[in-house]
Amino acid sequence: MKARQQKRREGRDSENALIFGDSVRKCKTLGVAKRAQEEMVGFMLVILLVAIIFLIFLGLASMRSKSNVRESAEVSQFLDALMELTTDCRITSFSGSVNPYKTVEELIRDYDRDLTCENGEKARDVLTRTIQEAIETSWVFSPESLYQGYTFEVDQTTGSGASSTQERIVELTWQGNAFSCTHAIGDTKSVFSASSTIKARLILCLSRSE
Amino acid sequence: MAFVLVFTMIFFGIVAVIYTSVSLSNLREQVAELRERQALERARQLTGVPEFAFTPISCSSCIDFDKALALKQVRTYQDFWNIKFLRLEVVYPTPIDKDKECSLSVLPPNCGYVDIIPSPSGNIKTKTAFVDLVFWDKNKGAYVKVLGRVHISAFDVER
Repeated sequence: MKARQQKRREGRDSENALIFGDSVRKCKTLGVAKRAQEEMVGFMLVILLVAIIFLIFLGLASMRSKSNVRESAEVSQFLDALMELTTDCRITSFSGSVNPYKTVEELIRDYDRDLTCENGEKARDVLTRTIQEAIETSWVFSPESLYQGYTFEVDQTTGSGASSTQERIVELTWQGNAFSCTHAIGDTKSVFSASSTIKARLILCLSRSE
Repeated sequence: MAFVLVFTMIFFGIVAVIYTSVSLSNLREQVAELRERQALERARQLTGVPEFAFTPISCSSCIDFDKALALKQVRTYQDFWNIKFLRLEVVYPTPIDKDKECSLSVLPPNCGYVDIIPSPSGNIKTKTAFVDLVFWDKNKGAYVKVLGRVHISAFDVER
């Protein structure tokens, strides 16, 4: 009798051990799975954070290099020299310069006065022709060469603040607008004038980066 | 946890490598640009030296062409600036004969250039800068500024 009872007890114990062992194992497996899930979520968060930082960095970098026109010492020197260039326009009727032959800068400054040169030609026409010829002689523009085209503009701003008005007094282009080029070099020069602010800008369109 | 840390480190490492390579390439571009600008400025500096400067009026980009032509005759100046080659070229108005060398008797637009320091034998690298060449035009009875270029080759410019 006692032996039978002992056997039953042992059987129950072993059943209990089996049941408890299973649940312990199940509990352990569940814990590991939960921890792994947490790690994955953490990892995803880290990746997300880094991706956001990377995107912000990329955005800032692209904003910095938004303008495709690179400042050029060569163009800057050309504009300096161009402004001092003597034109064929001789005007002795008004003072202001020792030399009766006007420079490009003087003709730009007196653009509003609509002067006529002593040979009968309009000063504005001489100015445009001189600038165009000077640019097209200085660089070779063709689809095969490095220089694909150019844009030259002179803007005159009169007045100040909200009442200021801007007028484009000279605009020359070769093969479309150079501002839309992938690779471009250029520079801007200010022309001294007592009544207005005058800015001359030259952009050269390049077939590839210099 | 270790797995996450290792991957995070690898990820940051890759980002750092990409960032460094991009920064270095920008730096190289900046160095090239600065060298170019330095060379151009060196060529342009000639307009400021008393031997070339046009002084009757204030003009930072002007070279006195008459002085330059006179200087060509003085051989002692050839080693003075540590320059191997120095040419002044007339760009605009377009010269009638651009292959003809200018002299005190032949002035632009009848000539195209003047070699102040003639080129040594062999190919040399030159840097160019835009300037104004100023000379007294007898026909116009005034100083005339024509668009020109300085071609220079110096030991510290040639790179």
